[in-house]
Amino acid sequence: MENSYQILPVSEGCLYVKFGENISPEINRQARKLSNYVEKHPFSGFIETVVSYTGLAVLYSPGVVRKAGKNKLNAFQIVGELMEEYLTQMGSLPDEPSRVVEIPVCYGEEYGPDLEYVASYHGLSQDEVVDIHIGGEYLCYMIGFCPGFPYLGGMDERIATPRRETPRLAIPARSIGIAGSQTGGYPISTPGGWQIIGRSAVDMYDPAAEHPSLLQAGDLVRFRSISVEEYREIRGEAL
Amino acid sequence: MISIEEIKDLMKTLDASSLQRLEIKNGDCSLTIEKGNSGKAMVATPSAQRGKQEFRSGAMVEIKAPMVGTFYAAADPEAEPFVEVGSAVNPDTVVCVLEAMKLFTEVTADCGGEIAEILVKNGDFVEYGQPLFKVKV
Amino acid sequence: MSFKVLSPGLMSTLQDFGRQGYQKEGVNNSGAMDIISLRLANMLVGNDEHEAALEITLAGPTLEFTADTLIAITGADLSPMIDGISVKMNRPVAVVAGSVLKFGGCLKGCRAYLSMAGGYDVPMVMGSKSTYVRGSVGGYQGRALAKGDVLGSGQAGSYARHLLKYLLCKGARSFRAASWYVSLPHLSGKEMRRPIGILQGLQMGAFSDESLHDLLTKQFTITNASDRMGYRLEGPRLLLKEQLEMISEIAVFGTVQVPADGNPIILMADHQSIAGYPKIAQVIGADLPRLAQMRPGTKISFREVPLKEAEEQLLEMERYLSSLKIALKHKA
Repeated sequence: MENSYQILPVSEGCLYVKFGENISPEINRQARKLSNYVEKHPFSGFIETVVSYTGLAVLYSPGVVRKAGKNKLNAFQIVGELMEEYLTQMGSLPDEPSRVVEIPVCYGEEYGPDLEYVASYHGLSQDEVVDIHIGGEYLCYMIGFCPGFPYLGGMDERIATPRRETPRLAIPARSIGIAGSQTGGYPISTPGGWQIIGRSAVDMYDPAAEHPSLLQAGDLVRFRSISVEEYREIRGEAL
Repeated sequence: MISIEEIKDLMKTLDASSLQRLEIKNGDCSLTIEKGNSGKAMVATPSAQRGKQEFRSGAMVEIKAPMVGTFYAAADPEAEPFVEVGSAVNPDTVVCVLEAMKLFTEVTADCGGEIAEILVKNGDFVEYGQPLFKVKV
Repeated sequence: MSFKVLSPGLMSTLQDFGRQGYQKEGVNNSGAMDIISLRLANMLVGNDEHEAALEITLAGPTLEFTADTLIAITGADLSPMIDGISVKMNRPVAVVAGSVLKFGGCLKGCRAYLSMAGGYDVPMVMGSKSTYVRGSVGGYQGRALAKGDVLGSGQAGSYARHLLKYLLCKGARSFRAASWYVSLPHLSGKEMRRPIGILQGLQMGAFSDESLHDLLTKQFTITNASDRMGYRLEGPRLLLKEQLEMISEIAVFGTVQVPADGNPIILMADHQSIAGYPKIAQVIGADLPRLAQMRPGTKISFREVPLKEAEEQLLEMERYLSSLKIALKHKA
């Protein structure tokens, strides 16, 4: 398989290893593989990696990188060359297995105020929309936008619905929704224009946890439909 | 009239006592002897060492550099100079800053009067004790 | 050392170097907008540079000191006064318990930094005391200061304790400032008027020649809709050569992205790590502190800088701060 890439400077302390120009599980796989490899082999001055749709950003402290390289080259050259080495070294290694994460969701009514709209938009019943949504397995491409927010791919076009014309000022935390061909959830309350079809019973973001985000890039996400009673039980709320 | 010998004796006596000040009036002649500031601990900074000075009115007094450094007439390149010839100063007036190792120290006049002459230029490197200003007290 | 908030000001949040290593959790860096002023504020009171300071925006808070405290105020000149008397900036200041610090008109800059010897006693969240207001993370209870808040310090170092004692024993009703100070060259009028250095953005080539020419020759105004997340600019519209299917990619502090309306946004300290708009340029690291001090209404222009030069300027900034650190150590 051809592994073509470009190494591009973003800022004095960030470079981007770009694997392609579109959203594809294959590009994402390469970005995640390099991310894991760099995290396992941190270099002097390394700060962190960020997976995006088209590649991997590597962040570092230019002063520390320069010092370690005895100030012969600039930081971008030093880290860039290292990334090329890493890409070669990791080529023969197996991929890390993806986690399958199941998220229990209470669909419709008070938790999914836009489910009715989505259903009528497509001439489907609400149950049919839910069936299609829970029938999918979604690749988490990356986490961004806000804490714990997953960019999920692979949603069925049959329920793809445009964003609301008037965004809501505050979407409740853990809301699950649809925006165009995208599906995902809001771990925290934020303004937004997504069509909200349900609410997750589990936290998607916990600042006190070792890994504050429930999901990570590479996860395969499935949704499970639960009743209001089960939702309230999981949340520890009174019935 | 009190003699020199008597004055010397009085000074010795005062010094040995816990009194700070002795005032004697003899007819239309009065004598005041006062102890120096020995109570407070000496703090080793240049401005403290210089202390307050008293001057005869009309005298010319020099403001000397309390440390080595680069002389600047203003707080920053775009600010007005702290003082000019003719500026009135009191003991707390900041007259210039001296820069060393990128730290700027404010130099106060430590006397009251009017700036008569500025003896150095902006950017000059000055030595400890070098006269910077002449002040007419 | 401590104070109570009598009134919070426009937007006062605790900020340090920022949260690093959590962008994969969607938790971005945050951190001080003007990192130079933050670091100096800490050095002046003998704190580790990485300590948090209170970042004060435009209209400052009213704070009542509840203990004798050694502070320093750096960054923008927001006319600080203690018990009605003007306080000099950029130097250690010993404040007597019971005194009240207030801020008046904004004379220069946009953001002031208030450090306290011993640092601010708030919990570390994901390795940092920076406040990310949107995520309710860190700083003082994950939010900007409010009336009634009480902030205490950690243990001050011996330098700070001695300096506080020395300044107060010289006699002070409300406060006594040291007679020496540091200079913040990036805030001089000359520096603030210089064009902002930029690197090429990842999608710079997608913009029209005319727009690239405008970017490097025309002026842009920082609008009122500018905050810690981003500075929205107004000026010539920057347009793409052709419609681009933009895919969300990395963005960092200083990334200049351009939405469909052509009005560029410079992403600032609270930016998200993923951005969905084309990136035309990247503000160089050495110019971010002074950019952070430019108020809404300021007109700016850009100048392209090669990566090598940008890196050199950043390292020069580090060298300056290092030499100041050494000088301050000698003061102790």
